[in-house]
Amino acid sequence: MVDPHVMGDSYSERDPSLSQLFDAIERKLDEMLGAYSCSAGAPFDKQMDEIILRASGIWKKSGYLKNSFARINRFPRELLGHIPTFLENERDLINTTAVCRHWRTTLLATPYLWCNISGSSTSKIRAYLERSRWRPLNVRLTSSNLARLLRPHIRRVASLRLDLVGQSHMDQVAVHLPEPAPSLRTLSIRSRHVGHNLDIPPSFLGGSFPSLKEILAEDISSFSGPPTFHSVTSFTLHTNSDISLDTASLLRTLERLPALEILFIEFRSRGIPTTAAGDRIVTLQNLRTLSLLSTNDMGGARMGPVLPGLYLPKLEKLDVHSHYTLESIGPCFPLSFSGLLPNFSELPKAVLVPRSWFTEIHLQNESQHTLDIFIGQLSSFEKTREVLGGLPLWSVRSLAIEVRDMDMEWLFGMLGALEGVEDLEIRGRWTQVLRFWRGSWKWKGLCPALRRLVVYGGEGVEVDLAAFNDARQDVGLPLTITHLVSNEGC
Amino acid sequence: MVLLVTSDNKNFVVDREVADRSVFVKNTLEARGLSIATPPMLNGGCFELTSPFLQVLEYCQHHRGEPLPTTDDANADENRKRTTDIGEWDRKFITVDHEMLFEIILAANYLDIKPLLDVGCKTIGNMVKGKSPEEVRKLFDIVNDFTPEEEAQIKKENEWAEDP
Repeated sequence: MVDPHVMGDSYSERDPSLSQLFDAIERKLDEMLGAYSCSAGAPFDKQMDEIILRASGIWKKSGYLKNSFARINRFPRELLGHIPTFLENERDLINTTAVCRHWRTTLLATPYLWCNISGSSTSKIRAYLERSRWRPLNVRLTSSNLARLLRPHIRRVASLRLDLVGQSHMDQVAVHLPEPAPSLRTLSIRSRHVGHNLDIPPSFLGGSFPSLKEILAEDISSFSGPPTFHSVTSFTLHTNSDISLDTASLLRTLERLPALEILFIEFRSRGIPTTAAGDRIVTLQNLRTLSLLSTNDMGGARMGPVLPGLYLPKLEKLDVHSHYTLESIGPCFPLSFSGLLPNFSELPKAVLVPRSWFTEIHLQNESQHTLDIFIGQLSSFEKTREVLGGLPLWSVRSLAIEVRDMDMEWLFGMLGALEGVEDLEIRGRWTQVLRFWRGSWKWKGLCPALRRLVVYGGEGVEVDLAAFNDARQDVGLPLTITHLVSNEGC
Repeated sequence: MVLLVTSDNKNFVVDREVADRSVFVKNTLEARGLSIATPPMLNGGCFELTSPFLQVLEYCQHHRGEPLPTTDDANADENRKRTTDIGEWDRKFITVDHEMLFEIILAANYLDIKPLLDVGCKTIGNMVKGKSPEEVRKLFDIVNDFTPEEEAQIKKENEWAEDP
């Protein structure tokens, strides 16, 4: 018999041969029922049960035949198997296997649907391991039962998430998983026993992680015990609970990640400030991106001490962000800046746009080698000045300043540090800009390299350019103002 | 320009950039060396395409110039599967009756237009989400054809979803 599911497009709305087949079955059944007479003493009830069961079988077969003509069931099997890849919920996946026999056989034979394994049910874990066949596995290890059943398949594990109750749980997992996992690319560890140092036993996965690229740690302050992770390029540390970050331990952990390119540290909690790094300096030769995110007002205090402990010769991108204030990061951030970023002073172009409630500094050099620094929500200009004051401005060649609510004295003081600036843009309200011009005598001797000046201001205030240009000769400005642009064009 | 001929003998002259949204068309043209055939020399490839071709063409025209997904990028493939979001234009485009939806999916599969195939499959996935097997059957005109033994096994597996 031809499987109707793969009959192709020859199917038409009404198949005469199918109708003939069912007509024949019905006629035969009528004929046999008409000829049937109950013989005395026969085990009638039992026989009827048997007949009903068989009739039910025939009914199911008819259902199977009907389903084969459902439009969706005429999809090629690989296409039907593709649909559940877009289901995020395990319940939905399991439900789809219970729709009809065609869906069930198709989905059970689609290995990549069964690669995400978690839970403790032996029958479930076995089924998933079997159905996923040879495919790489993503495992969330929540039970020792899963660890035990996973052991023969450890070579297939591509991502492993450990939800640990405490150190003893980690030790237990290491006992169950002593063989190497050569395909492991992502290791994610979460501890419910927050804030402690996690000791990874040397026997865990044979102490060998040849393909490991990414480590994610949640509510763990640091690692100890494991060998160096030579291939890891990304390390993420999240804390959701109140923990005290032991900076020295964190630096020791980072030392074990020599190939690290991306470091992301996020604090979502309120807790005790970190210990200081002291004189310890860890060099991360390959680190290109450093992100520090805090969602509490201790963020700066927590993150600050970590920074002086790092030497990052190849850093290209630095993100510092706090949802509340970063005031406490101010003192340590600029102080450690030049030590952190040896390439910083070589950057040829900088655009500086301070505003009253937040500060954004964007530094970019001409070779598309970008360094972005974002500092969120400094609460006052005083703090802005404190942070910006530490920047090595002598290296800046191009500068844009928004002078809204600026402290002019400080601004001129900062300009004094701009020995190399050639291209200057001033943005702000006209009143601010005018104050800036009126103080132009203070420019004497400042910005000796200035070649281009563009001013953006508000509308409605006239500026006597000729008078300004006359005045600038008195103060020795090396260029003539040629145009003023309104803010409308900004 | 490229000439595409559907199975019901309708001719469509489309820009090469639009035709190349289909990996099948692109590969076929490249294999036959028919890189560009401009009217009136309409000697391009002949493909058996079905009635939803106009819809598929509209999709390809809207998305012309966008980068095509690479087949060898495993991560991109994973990301593609992870998200169930459908863009606004695509959502409106794919809001059609079941019959046309299935036709578009089959055409996208045949013509190897992965982004369109994903839009179609995501749409069906979104229809299935949160529904019981019986509700899914009703949706797609399917009957329960499991044997009692299979039913028992399915009932057992039903508990798996509660095992975190």
